[in-house]
Amino acid sequence: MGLAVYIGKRLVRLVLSLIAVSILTFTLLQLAPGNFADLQRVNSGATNFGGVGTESMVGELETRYGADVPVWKQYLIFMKGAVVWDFGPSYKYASRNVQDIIAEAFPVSATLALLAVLLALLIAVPVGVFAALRQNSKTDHGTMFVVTLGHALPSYLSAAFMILLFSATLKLLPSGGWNGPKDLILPVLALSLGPAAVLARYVRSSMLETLREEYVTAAIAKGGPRRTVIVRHALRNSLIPLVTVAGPLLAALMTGTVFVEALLRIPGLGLYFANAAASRDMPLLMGTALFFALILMVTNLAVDLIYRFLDPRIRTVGGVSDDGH
Amino acid sequence: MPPVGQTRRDFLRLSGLTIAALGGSWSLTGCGLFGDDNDKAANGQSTLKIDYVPVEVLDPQVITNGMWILSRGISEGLVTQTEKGDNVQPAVASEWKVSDDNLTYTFTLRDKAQWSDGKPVVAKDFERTYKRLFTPAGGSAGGTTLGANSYQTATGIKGAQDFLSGVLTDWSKVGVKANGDHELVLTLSNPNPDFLLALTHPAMLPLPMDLVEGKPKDWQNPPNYVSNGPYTVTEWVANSRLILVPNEKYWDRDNVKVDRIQVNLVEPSAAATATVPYENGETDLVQLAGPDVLRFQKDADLSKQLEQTENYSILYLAKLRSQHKAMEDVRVRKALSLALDRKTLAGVQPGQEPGVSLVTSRTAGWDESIGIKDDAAEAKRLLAEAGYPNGQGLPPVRLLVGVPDTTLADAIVDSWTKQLGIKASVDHVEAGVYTERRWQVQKGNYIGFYYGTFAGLPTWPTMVGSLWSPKNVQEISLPSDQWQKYQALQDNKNLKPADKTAQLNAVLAEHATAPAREIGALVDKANVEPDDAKRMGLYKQAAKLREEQYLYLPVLWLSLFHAVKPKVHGLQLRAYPDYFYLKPLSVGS
Repeated sequence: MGLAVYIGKRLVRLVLSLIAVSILTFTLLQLAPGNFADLQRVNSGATNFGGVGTESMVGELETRYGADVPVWKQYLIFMKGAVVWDFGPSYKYASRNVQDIIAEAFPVSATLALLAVLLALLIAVPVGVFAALRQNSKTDHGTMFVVTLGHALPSYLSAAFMILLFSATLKLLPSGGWNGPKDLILPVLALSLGPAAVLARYVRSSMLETLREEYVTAAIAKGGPRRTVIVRHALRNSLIPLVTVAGPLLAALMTGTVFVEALLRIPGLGLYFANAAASRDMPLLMGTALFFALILMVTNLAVDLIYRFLDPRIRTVGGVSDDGH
Repeated sequence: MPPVGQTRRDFLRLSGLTIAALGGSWSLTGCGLFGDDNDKAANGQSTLKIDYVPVEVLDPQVITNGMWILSRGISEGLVTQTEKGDNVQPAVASEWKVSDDNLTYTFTLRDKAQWSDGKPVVAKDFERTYKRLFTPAGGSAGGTTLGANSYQTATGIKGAQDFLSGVLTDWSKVGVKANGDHELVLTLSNPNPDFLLALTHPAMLPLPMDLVEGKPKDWQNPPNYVSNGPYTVTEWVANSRLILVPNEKYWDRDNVKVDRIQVNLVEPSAAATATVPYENGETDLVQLAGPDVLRFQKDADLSKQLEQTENYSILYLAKLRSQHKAMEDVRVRKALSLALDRKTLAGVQPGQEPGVSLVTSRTAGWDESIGIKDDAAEAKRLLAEAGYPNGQGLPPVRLLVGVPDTTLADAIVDSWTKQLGIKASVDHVEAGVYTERRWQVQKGNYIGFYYGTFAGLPTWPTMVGSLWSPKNVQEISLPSDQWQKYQALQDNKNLKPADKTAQLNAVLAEHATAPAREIGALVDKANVEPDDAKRMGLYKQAAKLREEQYLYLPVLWLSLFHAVKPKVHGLQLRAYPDYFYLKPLSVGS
């Protein structure tokens, strides 16, 4: 019951947020200089061939793209479709609907994000535990120094380094493209380094905290094997806070891999999002922005729900406990 | 609620199962993620990999990069360009006749020409395609041309422009007529010596209209896609690749030699990263940027793989409209042109030549008489004469740039400051800002030029009549207040198309400068002049007059560079935006 009300409230908030996102995105797009038609003429074959828009072309574009209906009406027309998941055709990719583009490109971005987060966890957990068990030693400081470096290194830079190393120098891997599983290696590596660093720091501090808990001391005092105590008692409990970090991290990767996608020529959603903004493609920009917002909010909601299950102590919601205490 | 621990354990078990299931299904569908056709050419097949920019639309009637890959040999028009690109050869049309008045072109279509689905290519296909091209999108149901229409009005087909602007609504009055299956008659309003070459533009490629009308949303997407050229499209992964295979029904199938062409759709990237895939064997043909060209030139092996298309495009500056009157004075504009030091500018990047006129030297009959000679001393004198000795009193001259690379723009500004001692700067803006600002009347003392490049057929009618056309020159010659009036008229949605055109022309007739109008008169006269020598003379006169207005300043003639693997044979580069045809290509060992 309490849960249903809680979820209900969150869903209402989610819808309101989506409306806010749509209004903000639309307004910013209207304020941005230039429009799709003019940019199209400058950035494509038109410039090469000296195509100067005749009056009729401009008129045609405006009818097609709705410049002759008032701006608020354009917004309403778009949102009416958006409610039933129909964003209409993209301006730039005129033969395809925005929802089809999302359906095609999102699995690509999501796959990369999932694999990258998995790899990040595989790196972060041992590294974090390793450092925590040697707190304040030279190895701890050394590990954390490397981790901080990794955190500071943007993914597009690591991607560029990896292209240089694995493709240009060693000639082991394709420098980009999307033709087979081989093409997953570089983007997943590039995308996982930053998150691995973030997660390792969380694992370390969470582990340190857990190690100081009385039940761990008690377990050690009982004479349990050190390894068992660390893995079964300390580690398991210290991983719970990771959910709060890994969830949003996953969402951020699913929606924000623009640079890596561009560098490694991956047909993911981030590339479309960036192109939509650059070319003032209203339906595509609105569609992807709303979709990204939705992903982020749903992930956050999921994290909060999962958290409730994972840690029975956490039951308080928005300051009010749903169990009545 | 059940005891928490139990729920929790159940939850963990359930989520574990879910993740396992998801992972399983992901790995099963893993290949689907990369498209149906991964990097797997069958043994013994010849494969060619070329790089191209991303293709958003596979419709030759929409101005996007997609149209220039289609004309490479996915679709085939009535005629194609010869190896050098200065004439045409038969394609779908096996022969044609031109009437004595040079107004009527009668094409005979090949019996054997077929679409990739086996249907014959008939004259009606062309007529229907051109009707779609000339139909304004707003007025047509389903046949919308989505995006800027690619028709080149300079082609001059009778009634086409009026039909497109809505002035003419009776299709039978447009000069496109199919007589039976194999005869197509195109009629012009004025003789156009470039007409046959103009037919090689992607806008004039035929479309399978039954399919286009039957599946308006899906006809471009394989497996629906049907074309009539040497190759056809079997796979299209947006932002990743196009897969081309020979069109088995093509009339000249025996001369199509590559079994599979993978077109990598790659965003243009900075120098140095673009060549990594090439040197790593991921592509056989790639366009190069300046710094990469230099590196290739210095390398013994790589230099042999370098192909140059000389004098491909023209870098030019166009006068901005401003409230400040300084740039209205032709002496100031001339001073800025003469002070460009084009020789030094040409040395900034490889393959550049001083651009001494808007008409490139590739144009047959070109000579230096229409060109500009750099002259810093004369420039200084002109500037002083106009009332700005050593630039005193002249507001800073701005160069509005909307492309990422400002190397050349910086060099131009450098030239002005050094040669004239004036203040000048590059105003580097995002592309959207550029498109908006370059047509505005600049406020306060903002004066200068916008920066652009053009490429086109190296013929007089194109170079004088179509690029920086008489109409463009007249528009840019308007005083700022009249220009604002003109723009307001263009934006007026309450005017009928015919009235609007008439009123716009009236503004130009009254307020464009006399020489700008004279250029228009000369080109009109040239277009109908039957004598070749006289016609060229008229075009030259117009071109020279256009240079003397200094409204558009030619700066450099630019080359295009490609890197091509030695195993690729038959590449015939032309200075045209599709660069080369796929048909002559073959792959050796």
